[in-house]
Amino acid sequence: MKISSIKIANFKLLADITVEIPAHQSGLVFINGLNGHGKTTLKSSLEWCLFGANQGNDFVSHSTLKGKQPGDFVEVSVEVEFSNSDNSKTYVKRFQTMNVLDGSKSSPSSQPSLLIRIQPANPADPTEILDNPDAWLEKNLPKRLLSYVLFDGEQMEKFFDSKVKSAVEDAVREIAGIDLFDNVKKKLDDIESKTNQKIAKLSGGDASARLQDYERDIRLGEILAQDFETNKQNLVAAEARIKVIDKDLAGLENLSEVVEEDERLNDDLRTLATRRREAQLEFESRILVTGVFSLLKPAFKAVETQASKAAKEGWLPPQFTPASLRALLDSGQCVCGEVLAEDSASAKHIERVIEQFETSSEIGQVLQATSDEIKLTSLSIQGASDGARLLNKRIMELNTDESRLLARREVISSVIANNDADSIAKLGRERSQLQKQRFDLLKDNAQLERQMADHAARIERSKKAYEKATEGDGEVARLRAIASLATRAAAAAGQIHSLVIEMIRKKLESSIDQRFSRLVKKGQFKTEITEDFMIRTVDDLGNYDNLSEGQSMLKAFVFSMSLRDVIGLRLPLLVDTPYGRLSERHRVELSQMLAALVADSANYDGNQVIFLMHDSEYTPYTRKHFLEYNPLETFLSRDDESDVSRLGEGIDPEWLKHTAWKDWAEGIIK
Amino acid sequence: MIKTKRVALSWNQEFKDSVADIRYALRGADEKEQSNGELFMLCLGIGFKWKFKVATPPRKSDAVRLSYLKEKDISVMRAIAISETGRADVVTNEDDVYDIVEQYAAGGLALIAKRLSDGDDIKQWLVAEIFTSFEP
Repeated sequence: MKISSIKIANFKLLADITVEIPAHQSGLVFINGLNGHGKTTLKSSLEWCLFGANQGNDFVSHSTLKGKQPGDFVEVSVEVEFSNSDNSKTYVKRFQTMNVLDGSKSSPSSQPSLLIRIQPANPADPTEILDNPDAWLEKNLPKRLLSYVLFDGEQMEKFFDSKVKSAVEDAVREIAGIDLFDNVKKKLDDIESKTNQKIAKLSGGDASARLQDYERDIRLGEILAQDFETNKQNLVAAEARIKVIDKDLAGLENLSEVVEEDERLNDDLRTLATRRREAQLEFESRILVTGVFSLLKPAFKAVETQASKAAKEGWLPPQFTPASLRALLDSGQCVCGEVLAEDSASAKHIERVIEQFETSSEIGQVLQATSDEIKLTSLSIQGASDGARLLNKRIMELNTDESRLLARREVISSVIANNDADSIAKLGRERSQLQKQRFDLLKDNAQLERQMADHAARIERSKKAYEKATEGDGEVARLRAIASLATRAAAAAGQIHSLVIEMIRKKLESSIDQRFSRLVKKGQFKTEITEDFMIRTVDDLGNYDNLSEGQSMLKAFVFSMSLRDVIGLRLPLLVDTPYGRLSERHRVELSQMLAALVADSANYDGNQVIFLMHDSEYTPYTRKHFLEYNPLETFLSRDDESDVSRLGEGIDPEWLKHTAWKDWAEGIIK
Repeated sequence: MIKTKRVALSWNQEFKDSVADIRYALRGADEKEQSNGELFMLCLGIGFKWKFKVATPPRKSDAVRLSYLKEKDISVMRAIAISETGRADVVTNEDDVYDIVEQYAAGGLALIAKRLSDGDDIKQWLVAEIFTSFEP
């Protein structure tokens, strides 16, 4: 099924455009044009016509409205003509009558209408107008495959991200007819449930209670399974997002680490400043409280001098107080154990000491007390000094640490000066959070898996209890046989469902690998479509998704073509700005690969590729890769006066005035 | 031994207002202000270190009550008096000792008050003065 003609009337920029695609050039078509000349509008018109995509309420060409009066009517229409492999033709036309509000606005006056007619291969046979055109469209151009018919190149670099996961899943479900299986399984489950209710009714109260238990356990099991599935999806989404962030940060990875280090440094500096302030305050407080006597140290020497002199002259009192010495004499024994007998030499010596104390000068006693106190004060000054020195050392260390961190921060600041540090830091933080979320989800899933296993055993017990409660009744036995049959049939539907999905996945993997290997180094990449429809590429070293941008985009094309093989439909592929935002190097790479893909498509009869390219995509250098496939070259130009786009054949003459096309026109490049 | 009849040590009346400001400037990490005794000993220390005395102040403004002084404070005051006079017998007359320390404390207070009025960070200065005095 190839597009052989597109007729557009009054649709946005395209007031009156007809694209005729001759049969001999139908495999590869270029519709080129500068930005704003109608390429994307052309794609939108096809989305509207073939897939009924909503275009809002005001999509009439402004040029058409200009000459109209309020109350006039305008018809917007897009008609696509398909040439089929049996030489029949299918015309799909969507049209809508619009009410003119003023010279620049309109509103729909009716619902869009769809008309599909089929012109048999034999012109003599009558044209068939379909009663149910929507059904034809749903069968031949399923909405769920829209993404694989009309591509947007700018989105292709993200083609295999999680965002397209659901699109791939849609496609596989479409191909596998999964909805049908789902409905069958649901109906069988209903039959089982209703039959069980009848059995319970026949068997009496206890059976009814057992059935309620059984059904409650089943529902709980379903909730657990749903939770598990939701968690699994969240896990996939988190992993996909981590991958995207990794990709975004690739090349900035070092910078990302630097930014993270910068944040850590700022935290460290704040902590350090707090600790230093605390240490400084403690240092000051302790010095002011305990160190003041150090200022008076110079006076201490004078006390020492006077005390020495007094000692020498004997007017200092002895070290022991008279009261303590008298206590020794009273007890009759010295602290050393010697017996202090009356009139003994020792006792007499002690009495002399007491006498000396009492007769020593008043000055001597005060001087002795002062000298003792000063000695203690000196010791406390030494303690204060040691403590202050330790604190001071700590402050110096903190200062050194701060200087080191400040120097490091200066280096980091110069590294990140020209980058968006905030965005990088934000991505880094998001990644950290996602990694934590991923860890939690994995933990939850493991727990849910255990709960599900326990619960499965519980369901089995409930079922046995229920069966036991309903034993011994002939009608019950018959109904149970029906319920059992429904259970097995539902399980079989589920298995078939899984098998079909598995088959489609394998077919797709194989088809993609077959094509991709022909285009890229043979055997270098292998495709995996996971059970939850993530598409992953494994290189020969076992690394996932190690494709260049060009290869990744090509793989999106390949996937789309492979889908056509597997689905068995020959749908055209229309790609808007196929090179997207690729760099020049990757464009050349993709051009070569696309040319190979087009050549490859020629082997699959019926494939048709339509590229919508702007001037920096379609150049003499890219064109040369495609020439041998005899493409149809057209261009959209814009008449500024009438605000209307027109279609021409060949290369836009305006392009020939500039850059490479000028050199090409002058024969400088071929 | 000649006991004093005074109940408190005094300092210059003219610096009375400065005392509150100094006390505020020297408050610790816990916002606690210095006691009268601590502040008097600090002023005494600074006056003594800089050998700066002012005339014995009239006993109109109490700096610290004698009953609040510790034995260590009294001993250090005696040491200053001995060092100042070069005589040990100075300690037998409490008023002689207190006159000397009041003059130094008044001198220290004058120095600190001057720094404060000049806008200096007196806390930093005093900490540095004390810290350097730890040197043997």
